[in-house]
Amino acid sequence: MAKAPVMQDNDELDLTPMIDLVFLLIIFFILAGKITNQSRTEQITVPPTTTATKIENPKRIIINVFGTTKSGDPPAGTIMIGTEKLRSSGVDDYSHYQRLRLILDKQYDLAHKIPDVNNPVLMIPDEMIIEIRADGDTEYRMVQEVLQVVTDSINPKDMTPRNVAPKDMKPFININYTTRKPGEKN
Amino acid sequence: MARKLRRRPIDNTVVMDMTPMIDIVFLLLIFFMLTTKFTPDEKAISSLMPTNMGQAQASSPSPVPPDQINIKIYPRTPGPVSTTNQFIRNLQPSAYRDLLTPILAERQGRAIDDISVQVGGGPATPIEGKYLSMKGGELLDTQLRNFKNTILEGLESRDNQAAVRKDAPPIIIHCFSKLSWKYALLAYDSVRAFEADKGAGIITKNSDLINARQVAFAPPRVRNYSANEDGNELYEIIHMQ
Repeated sequence: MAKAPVMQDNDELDLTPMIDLVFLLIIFFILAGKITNQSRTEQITVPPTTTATKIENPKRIIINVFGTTKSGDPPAGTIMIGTEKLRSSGVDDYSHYQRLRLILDKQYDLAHKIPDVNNPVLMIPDEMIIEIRADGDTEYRMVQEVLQVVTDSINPKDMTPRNVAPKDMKPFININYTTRKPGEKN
Repeated sequence: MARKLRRRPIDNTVVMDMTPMIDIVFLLLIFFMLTTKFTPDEKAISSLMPTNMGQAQASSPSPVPPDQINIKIYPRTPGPVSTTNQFIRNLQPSAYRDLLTPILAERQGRAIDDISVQVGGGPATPIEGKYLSMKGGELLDTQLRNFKNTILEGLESRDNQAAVRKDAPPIIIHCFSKLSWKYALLAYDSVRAFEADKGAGIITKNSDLINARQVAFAPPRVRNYSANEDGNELYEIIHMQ
């Protein structure tokens, strides 16, 4: 009996289960991939700690400090704030810290810094947190320098509540350090 | 007549060709597969830092208060222990550079292999491991615990059992300039863990920090301001550790 290899119309491949699975996969990837803040670049691996808490208040200034990256770009010690990258052009060149200070000053102005009369101990409103997001392998010196610039960029005169005597003011600012949960690779 | 490729249905429903939809769906899937990055959730640890108003009040280097506890993290040089202790005392910049140069020359730009952790005046505990010298070096779990336990034990032996943790002696963390930032942050984390065990609890709100024990990273000891020709301020930051 000759069997003709003919396309038979009554054999149709039902594609419905495949489409279902593909939709499931799409939904998985949509939900699993978070839309992250652009400031939190993946090139920085923050150090692990155990007493850290979840980041809740999103209103913060994130200062990224790069350590050694795989591609070598940006070079170690580069500071990134927003989308702007700042780096030193050589030994004993600290001009990038001037730029950082300018940016921070502008940020404080934008935040309408109003002394919190309920909280005269803190010189800036609780809403404004500066987050230092430094790679675990950044040189300690570079993080120290950034901390120093952050300290200097706050002018206590602008922060003085009117009803607090100068001798009662406690000039502190809140700094957060980004960390992660300790894993197998630390 | 030519064979019909589609059966004409008897009822009035519409048969739709699903091929383009499957194409678009695959495109979307590939897009998401390529653009999704799985990164660990990030957390934050908070601290307070004095502004320069507090520092300006002490324009001359103030004497170290007697009840302050220093945590020192520095490279373990092969010489006698007393050599490394000199890092901690007040040094003139020239003397500091004399100590620093041979260590850096010996390392030739490589990361530092062994470090020592010293709490207060106690003995220095070495944290050894080839991992410390790797670029992007990874701390083993054991090294991490060793580091943390050193600090916890050192703090325990110096604890004055103050009920109000704010009255406990303040802690200053000194870290060698060329060491990785993660060691200093680990030290801070260990101190906060110690305080959490002593009843302060884990700091969640920034306002809790006012009543918590004072912990600070040692600032650079010498800072000079100078102005260039235009009168703009220039920074000169010299690190003493």
